[in-house]
Amino acid sequence: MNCRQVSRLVSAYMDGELTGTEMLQIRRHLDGCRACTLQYESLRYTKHLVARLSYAEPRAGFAERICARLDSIEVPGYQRVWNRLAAYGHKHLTPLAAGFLALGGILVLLAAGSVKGPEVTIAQTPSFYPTGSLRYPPAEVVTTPAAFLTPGPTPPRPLIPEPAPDEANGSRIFTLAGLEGH
Amino acid sequence: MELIEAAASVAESEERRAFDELVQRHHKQAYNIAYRMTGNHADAEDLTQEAFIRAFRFFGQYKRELPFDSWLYKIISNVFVDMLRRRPKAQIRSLDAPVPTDDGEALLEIADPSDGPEEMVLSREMDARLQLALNSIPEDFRLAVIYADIEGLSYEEIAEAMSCSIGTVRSRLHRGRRLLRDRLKAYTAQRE
Repeated sequence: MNCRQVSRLVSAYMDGELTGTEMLQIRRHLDGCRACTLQYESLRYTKHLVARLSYAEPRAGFAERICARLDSIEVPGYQRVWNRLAAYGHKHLTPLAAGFLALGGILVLLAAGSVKGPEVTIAQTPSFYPTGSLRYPPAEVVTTPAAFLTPGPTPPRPLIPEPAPDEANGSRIFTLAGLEGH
Repeated sequence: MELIEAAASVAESEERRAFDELVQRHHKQAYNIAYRMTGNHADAEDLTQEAFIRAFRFFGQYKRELPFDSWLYKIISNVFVDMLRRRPKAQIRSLDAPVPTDDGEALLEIADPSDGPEEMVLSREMDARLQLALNSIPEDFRLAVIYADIEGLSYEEIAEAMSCSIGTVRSRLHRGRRLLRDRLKAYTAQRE
């Protein structure tokens, strides 16, 4: 292990958070490298200083004030229900059973969602506002299931053209030709 | 129906009593962490209180078989991050500026590591100076240093509390300690 690698790992070495092999390699390196040993010692001292910081005590009666504050906290109904379910789950269900239940719930939700089909939102803009204006008043929104929409005769020409296929390599490339006339 | 409501009410009051006990048992520890994170008593009180309120709201989701403080560490970290988002960046003070103490202002004396254990006892000034150095490093680094060196958590526990990987903890901790060391070293060099 070289100095650069040791420098990166020396903090974890100090905390004993490396594998046995890494710990051994660093110890051997430190035995023969004064620069790395100095770095290690200075970090160890910094850790020591932080660990010796005094214990910051709160003002008297702080716990009581927190508890009093909790009296005014209103836990919403849905949160209470969710908390109870979670508490029940933690107490009575194994993680596997909880996983199956969650999966079942997701499947039910997905099944319920697929019955209705996708919806398309059409915003009707009053004619006295120019098209493209960003400052409309709240638009009247009409929601129509996709199944009731019939395709128009000709789709409008896109402002930015679709990329044309590149015959040489099969990939798709963009050309400027489609922008003519805009 | 009344029976169900009565049972729910009993369950809620039991839960509340259990939570109040946890507040009594852990508020000092939470406050100490909060103080070292924020660097002042007013913010430490706000942070601790907000953390317990959040814990109370989600108490049902706390897994009773796990230690409460591990869960609380995670909440404190989240509340701290939210607090930082809401507030403008705190002013960073120079390390060689006089430190406010209960007896007026004082300058820092850093004990020499070669001195005996008596000399190594940190003075109040040293404490305040070190706190300033902590305040001056990035919040993520500071959190990692506090959890590792004050609370004595393992890298795995810190990763859980800070919702990040063990590799990230390792990096934040190393960089945090190096920054702290450099700030303190620069100060001692100026004083000599």
